[in-house]
Amino acid sequence: MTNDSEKEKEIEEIKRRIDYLVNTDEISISDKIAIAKKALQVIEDNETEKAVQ
Amino acid sequence: MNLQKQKAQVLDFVGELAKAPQNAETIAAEFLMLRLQGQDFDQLPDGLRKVLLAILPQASATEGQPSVSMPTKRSQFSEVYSGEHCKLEVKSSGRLGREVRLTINAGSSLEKAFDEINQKSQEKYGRDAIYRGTLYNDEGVKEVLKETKVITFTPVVKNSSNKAKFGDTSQDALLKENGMDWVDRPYITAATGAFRVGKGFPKDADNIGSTTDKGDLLKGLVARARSGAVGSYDLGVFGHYYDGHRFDDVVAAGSSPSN
Repeated sequence: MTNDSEKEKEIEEIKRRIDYLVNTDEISISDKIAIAKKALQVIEDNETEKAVQ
Repeated sequence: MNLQKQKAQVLDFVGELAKAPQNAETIAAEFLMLRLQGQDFDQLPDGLRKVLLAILPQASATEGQPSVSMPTKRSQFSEVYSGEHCKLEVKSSGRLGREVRLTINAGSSLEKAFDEINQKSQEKYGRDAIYRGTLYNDEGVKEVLKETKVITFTPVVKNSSNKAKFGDTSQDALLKENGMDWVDRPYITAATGAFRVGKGFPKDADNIGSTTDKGDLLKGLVARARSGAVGSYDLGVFGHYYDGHRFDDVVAAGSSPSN
C-alpha cells in the first residue's frame, strides 16, 4: 500500500504531466488525443469496475 | 466536476465543432484535456496511478534538474521564420500560451513584413492569404522604419480552466477591455491566433490564440486582409459581429473557422 505522502507525490506528478501534455509544443495534437484517450480509458475502466462491484 | 457543468462543457464544444469542423482535432484535444484535468485522482487505486504515470509523457529531463520541467520555464525564443523584411520568433509561456516576437528590419515596414510572411504562407501551404486575415491601420503599417522595430505579442489566458485560475486576465475580459466585446467568443476560441495592436503603428499587442493549437504564427505565418476584405470575414474570426469601426485597432492572425 502506498503511504499518504507517496500518494500525494504521485498525484502531483500526474497533474504536472497533464499540464505538460496540455501545454507542450513537442507533442502533436493527434498524439495528445491518443494519450488523453488512453489515460481516460484507464480511469473509466476503473469506474466501471467499481460500479460492477 | 458536476454533471451539469460537464453537460454545459460538452454543449460548448459541440457548438464550436459545428461552426468549425476543420478545427475538429484541436477542439477534440482541448475537450479531452479538460476531461483529464477534471478527474479526481485521489480516488484512484494505487496501481492505476502508476499506470497513468506510465501513460502520461514526461518532459525531457536534464541532469540535476527536476524530472518534469514546466513549460513556463522554457523562456527562449526560437526562430520560425527569417526573411528580407522581418524575423518571426516564438516562445512558450506555459499555461498562458505563446509569445510571438516580430522583428521588422530597418528600411522595411509592417506591411512589407506581413507581405513577406504571407508570401511564405502561400508557398508553403497554398492558401489564399487575403482570406486569412490580418487587419490593421494602413497608415501605420506603411511607415518605413529608420531602425529595426521589435513587436512582442503577449499571450493571455484563453480557456475556462485557466480563466478560473487567472480571473481577470481571461479572454473575455481582454476582449471587453479593448472594446472588442462584439467579437463572438466561439469564433475567437476556434481561431488559432488573434492579435490586438494599438491604433496606428503597433506598440503592444495581446495574443488571443488557443493554448492547444499552435496557430499559423508558429509555422512562420501571419495572415492578413485589408479592411476592404471585410466580406471574407463573414464567417471568419470576426463572425457576423463586425461593426465597421474597429478594424483599425485589430490585427488578427491564424486560421478562422471558415477558411
